This record gives sequence, C-alpha cells and structure tokens, in this order.
Amino acid sequence: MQKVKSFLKSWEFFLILLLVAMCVVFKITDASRIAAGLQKKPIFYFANVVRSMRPYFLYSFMTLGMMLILAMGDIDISVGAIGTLSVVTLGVTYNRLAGSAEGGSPMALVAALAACLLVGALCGALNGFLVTRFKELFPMIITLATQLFFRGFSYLIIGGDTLTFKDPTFKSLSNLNQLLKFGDLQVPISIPIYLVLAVVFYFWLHRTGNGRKIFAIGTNASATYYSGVRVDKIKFWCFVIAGFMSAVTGIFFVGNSSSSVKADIMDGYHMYAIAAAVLGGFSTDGGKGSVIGATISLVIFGVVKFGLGTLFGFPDSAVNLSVGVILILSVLGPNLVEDIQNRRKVAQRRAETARLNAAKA
Amino acid sequence: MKKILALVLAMMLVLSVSAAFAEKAGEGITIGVVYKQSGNPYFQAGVTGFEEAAGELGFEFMHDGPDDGSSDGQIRIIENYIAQGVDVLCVSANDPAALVDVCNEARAAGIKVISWDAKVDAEGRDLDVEPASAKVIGVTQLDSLVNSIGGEGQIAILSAMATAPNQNLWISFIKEALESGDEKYAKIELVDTVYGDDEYTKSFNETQGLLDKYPDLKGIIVPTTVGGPAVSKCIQDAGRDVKVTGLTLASDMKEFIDAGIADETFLWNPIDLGYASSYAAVAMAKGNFTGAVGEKLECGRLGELEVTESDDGGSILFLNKLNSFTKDTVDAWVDIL
Repeated sequence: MQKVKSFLKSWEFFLILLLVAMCVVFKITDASRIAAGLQKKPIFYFANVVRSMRPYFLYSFMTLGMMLILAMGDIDISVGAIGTLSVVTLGVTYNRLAGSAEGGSPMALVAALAACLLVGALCGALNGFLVTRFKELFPMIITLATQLFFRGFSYLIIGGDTLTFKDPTFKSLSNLNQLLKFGDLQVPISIPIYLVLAVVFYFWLHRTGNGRKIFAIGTNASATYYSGVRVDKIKFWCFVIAGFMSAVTGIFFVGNSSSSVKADIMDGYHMYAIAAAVLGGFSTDGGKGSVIGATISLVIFGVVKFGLGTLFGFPDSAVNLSVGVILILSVLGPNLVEDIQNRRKVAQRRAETARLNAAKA
Repeated sequence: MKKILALVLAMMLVLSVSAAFAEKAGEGITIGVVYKQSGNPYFQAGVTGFEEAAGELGFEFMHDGPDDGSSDGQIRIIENYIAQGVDVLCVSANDPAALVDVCNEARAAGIKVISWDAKVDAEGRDLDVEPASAKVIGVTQLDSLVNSIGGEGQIAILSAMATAPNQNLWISFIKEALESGDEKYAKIELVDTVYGDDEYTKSFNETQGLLDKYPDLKGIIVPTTVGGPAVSKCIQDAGRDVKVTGLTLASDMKEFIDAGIADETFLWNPIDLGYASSYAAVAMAKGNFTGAVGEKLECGRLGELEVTESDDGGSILFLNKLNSFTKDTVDAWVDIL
C-alpha cells in the first residue's frame, strides 16, 4: 500500500498521466477531424504512432549518456557534434579500408564501426579530462568549445560533401532503420535496442553502488569526495560513456539517412537529449532523475511532435515549441505547487499566532 | 407540388455540384510537398505553383520543409506524410542519397514519389521534374544573346570553374548549335571561353581581359549566377556596348537589366516546377501515368511534356522553359530569386 502511495506521488506517475492526457486529446482531435471531413482515415492509432516514433528515438541513446552527465550536475552540449565526428570517421575509415572491393568488405565495416565508437569515446574522454582538470571552468563552456571543435573537424575531414555508399555491405547499416513487423504493428528496431540498454542503465544507475555514487556527486561533490569516492575518475568515465552513446546514436543516424554521411548532421541533437532527460526528472543541479522517467519523456516528446505535425498541421520547424512549453510547465509546475503549499502553511501559522495573541489579550 | 419542385431543384443542385467536382481530375487526391527549407522565398514561389494547379485539378496538398535545411528534418516530414496517408510525395531533396530509404518505404506503402527542383536518387523516386535539359539551357542563352546583338558579331563565354560539369555541358551545347550551320548563327563568332571560378573579383578581371583583347566584342554569355553581376559591372565601368545574358538571380541583375547592359537573363521558374509536379502527381495517383521514359503528360498551361531518361538512369520530366527576366518582368522576381 505504501509503495502504491509513493508511486502515485512520483514524477514517473505524473509523466504517465501527461502521456495519457495527450493521447486522449490527440485521439479526440483525430476523430473530430474525420467527422468534419478534414481527413479521410484515422491517423492517431497505436500502430501508426509506434511506427512514427522512429525519428524521435534516434537520439534516445544520446539521452542515456546525457542522464549520467546531468545526474552529476554537469552538462555536455557537445554530444551531437561527437556523433557527427564519429560517423564521419566511420565513413572515411570504411572508404579507406574497403577501397574498391567488389560488393564491399565486411571486415572493413567492422573495423570502421569500431573506429567510430572509439572516436566517440575519445571525444568524451577529452571532455572528461577537461572538465575534471579545469574545475574553474563550467562544463557548459568546455563542451561548447569542444562542440565547435568536433564539428569544425568533421568539416575539415569531408567538407560539405555527402559521403554516399553504393556497396551492399555498408548499405546494411540501413537495417538499423528497419521496422520489425508483428502482424499490423511495425516497430522501429531502435526501440527494442534502446529498451535493452535502458534496462542495463536502470540497474546500473539505480541498483548498484557505483550508480548511486553518480547521484551522490550531483547532490554534493565535496561531501562525496571526502567520504572516499574518487569523484574525478567517475566523472571522467561518465563523459566517456556519453561520448560512446553519441557514436551509437550516430550509427543509427547513418542508417536513417539511407547509409550516407554528412558533416552537418545531428546539429541540435544535444538539445533533444537534454530536454528528454530533464523532463524525465534529471536536472542540471544534479542528484536526481530516473531512467524510467527519461524513457517516458522520449515517448511523450515523440507523441506530441507526431500529433502536432500530423493532426494540428504544425510545420516541422514549429513542433519544437511543444518541447519548450512542456519543459517550462513541468519544471514550473512542481515549484508552484510547493510554493502554494508553503504559503498556505505560513498563512495557517499566522492565523494561529493571531488567535493565540487574541486569546492572551 | 412545392415539395416535389424543391426536391427536383435540390437534386439538380446536387447533380450540378457533383458534375462540377467530377470535372476535376485531382478530386480526393492528397499530395505531400516537401521542400528544402521553410521560409525560403524560392520554395514559397514553388508552393504558389502547387496552389495554381490545385485550383485547376481540385487536389489537396500539404507543404513543409525543415528550418535548418537538413535531410533528417525532411525524413521526419516524409514520415509524417506517410502516417497521414498521402497519395503522392513531391520532394525537393536536400540530399539525393539520404532520402532514398524513406522514399522507398513510402513507395512500398503505395505512395508515388516525385522529386522536383532537386532530385532524389533514381532508385528512390518514380519521376524527377526539372526545369530544362542541358541543351535547352545552353541554346536559350545563345538565342537570347544573338537576338540582343542583332544577329551579328563576336561573342564570348564567362563560365564558373573550368571543371564545373553543368556549365561545361551547357557550353558544349552552345558550341554544337553554333557549328550546326543554322542560318541565324552564321554571322556569330565565339571568340573565347574564360573562367571566373564563381568568384566576383576573378570574374570581373577576366571580363576586363576579354574587353581589352577583343575591341569588337558584342556580347558575353554568363551561365553562372556569381558571374552575371561581375561581368555586367565591368562592362558598365568600361562604358562598352557589350550585351550580357546568362543564368542569374533577378535581384543581382535588376540594376543591369534596367541600365540596358542585359536585355534578358534566365533562371529556373519554381512556380512552373510546382505546377508541372502537380500535374504529374495527379496523373500518377490516378494510375494513367507511371513516369516511364517516353510517356507523355498533359501539363495544363505548360502543354504536353515528355519523360526522358535522366543521366542517373531514372526518368526525368523537363519543362524546357526557362524563366526570363527582362525590364518588364524582373521586378516581380526580385524578392524571389
């Protein structure tokens, strides 16, 4: 009973309510649009929504990395650019190794993927090194600098060109964009892969000592340090993991782009990752948040963007306003509730004091 | 009696309305238009082409483009259109390769895919709609200049990079026309081809060189937008009576067209592109046009157009009509191109 009560008070429960409420609004809109003759067939039904989550789960892996950083009270805005540099490495390495081999070379692809993930981790390591070595600088500024560096470096390597690959081996990356068919249901392959990783992250972050140390750092880094935790080491590795997850995101992005690589991709993806993590309960203050919350948030943002774009006719450039509105409300909401509760308490005490004073007199 | 009369009248009304609807070929068809970037006046003009055709054919269309001109933004928009169940997609691709997979998914779902203005690679589309073939682009500029200089005299070409494939193709068709023995080119002499590398200063200096070297030069063809204003400015400063034509932006060339340095310059017409794409889309959705090479398509005010084979192996529909900027028309295009 106690467990149920605390669940009903939890942030995750609120997010589920928000998701359900949005689905209801969209479902009603869908039905009324059909009734009004504005569309021929339903748009907002389960199979269609699941299938359309694909673009919004591209950055889900990046969100997992971002959770670690935010839990420590830091921020990393270079994750999008790390993804770009990683996939540029992927493309260039594959071209170099496979050369003009007939039908492509699977070995070259494995090596190129390894290089891609390694570069992602190395970029993260650079961030981690700078953040732990130069504590007087905000991580925001450091990762702003490395972001510009990584993106500039990507342009230096391949310029404004698109690297395209015609051979079937490299094209097999398009499989990452596949839809798994279960009857009428088409599930983007990134969703089950994300869920597996999310379970791993969940147990690591919330169920192991090392994971709890990450939250402890975010709550009070000095206290954590003086209680014997090697703060810098943990920080460093969290940035490495965030970089690695960006490279993973990048590989999925290549699959999504018909197996082509460009230097301007994933611009702004760090914002999507941060937004999903923050709505999931993480904050730049550190010390809180949950993998489950962030996962629900990914779905919320996907659903609201899909609904606004298809049912409300929002242009693609405007759907992000929903992210802003939801974020502000979700951050302000709890604060407002707390504020009102505090005021009520103060008013009660005043009234009580006044009553006592009156009684004395 | 009154009731019967009312009933008859009502039935006539219904019939006439449905007859009016039945006349329109595109009734009930929905087209999803995707362009490179939202807020770009070039594509806003393209949308007016779709609007014009929608008025004639009665189809419905939605249009959108990403604000950052990215391919993944276009993929998002296409996914939304697939989810909404459009009948045809008309895409101006930010990247010909990146959209292939999502376009093929759309085709697997029974949606026809047309690229317009900027192609989707051949394996991901049913048809590409483009302004004009290389031959028409080359010869249109030549004919306009020949007209401007009274059919007689020396001309030169200022191109972009010496290696620019498009420009070289157009120039080869200009040369082919001049050597074809056609009567109207008999007194025209192409004396030189120089390269301004799409840089303003280099284009200006190369023009100065041409003017010094050929005192009787009558005209210059500039098949590159950067070169147009540079060449015109150079001629204006030198005070020479040399005419310019070429592929230029209306906004770049307005002052030189008004000053009489250029009588007529050209560029694509996004309105016509949208208009023709609409006709192709409706015909495809109706199933009486597949976009195969050799097929003919009735395109409203643009007349009958024929599908030819594109150099990437796919099929392409050329409008073969360039947008001409003259003293009378340039003002209308200044804010668009």
